[in-house]
Amino acid sequence: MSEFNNWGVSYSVISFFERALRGHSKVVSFRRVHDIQFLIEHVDGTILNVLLVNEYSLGLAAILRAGDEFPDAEYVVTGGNWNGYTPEAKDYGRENDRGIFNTGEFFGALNWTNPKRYYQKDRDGNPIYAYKSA
Amino acid sequence: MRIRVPSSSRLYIFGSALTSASLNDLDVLAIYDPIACPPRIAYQEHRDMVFELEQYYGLPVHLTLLTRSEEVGTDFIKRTGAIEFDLGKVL
Repeated sequence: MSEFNNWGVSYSVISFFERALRGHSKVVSFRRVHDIQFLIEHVDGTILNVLLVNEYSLGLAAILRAGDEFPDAEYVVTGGNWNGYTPEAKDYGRENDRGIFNTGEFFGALNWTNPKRYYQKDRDGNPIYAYKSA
Repeated sequence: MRIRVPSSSRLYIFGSALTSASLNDLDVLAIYDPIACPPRIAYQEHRDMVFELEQYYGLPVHLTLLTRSEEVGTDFIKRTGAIEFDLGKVL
């Protein structure tokens, strides 16, 4: 567990996320605040306020806790493509204008005009969500 | 040692505790009843339990909180191989 945040996000998860941000074509710059909160400058000029956590399955209780502790974070991203979230957490995000993603999805979302609305598609164009990742 | 688990919650362990002899932390899943314990206060309601488990095991506890409906929707227990944590037998 990290000594610097009480969400159990390790340095390796943070540094992986930072490396991926540095390599993303839509990211101009970023700044890490409060250890696990990122302010990301997008090439379109917007600033994305992102909370990075490391939850195997991000549930509604965790999303509500994140909102209480980081009220300005518009995105909650759970580190690693093997992590995911519950349908209830995703629905809450949709209804409250918060982007709920795992890492792989988030880096895809950066390519969309409205990243919060991003979803992956299967071969038939149907949305797929990280409810049962790993 | 007394571990105060909210009465409507059931505990499971998963992750490295099931596979590794040397642990950095203990992954605990709590399935809670959102009627008895609203999601907005679920972490607060389980905070004493986390602290007491950490004291007992000498390890950080990484808590995942899901309702039964969320667990079913993610197939969490089956996917992780989580096993129920019977504190009466453990302590």
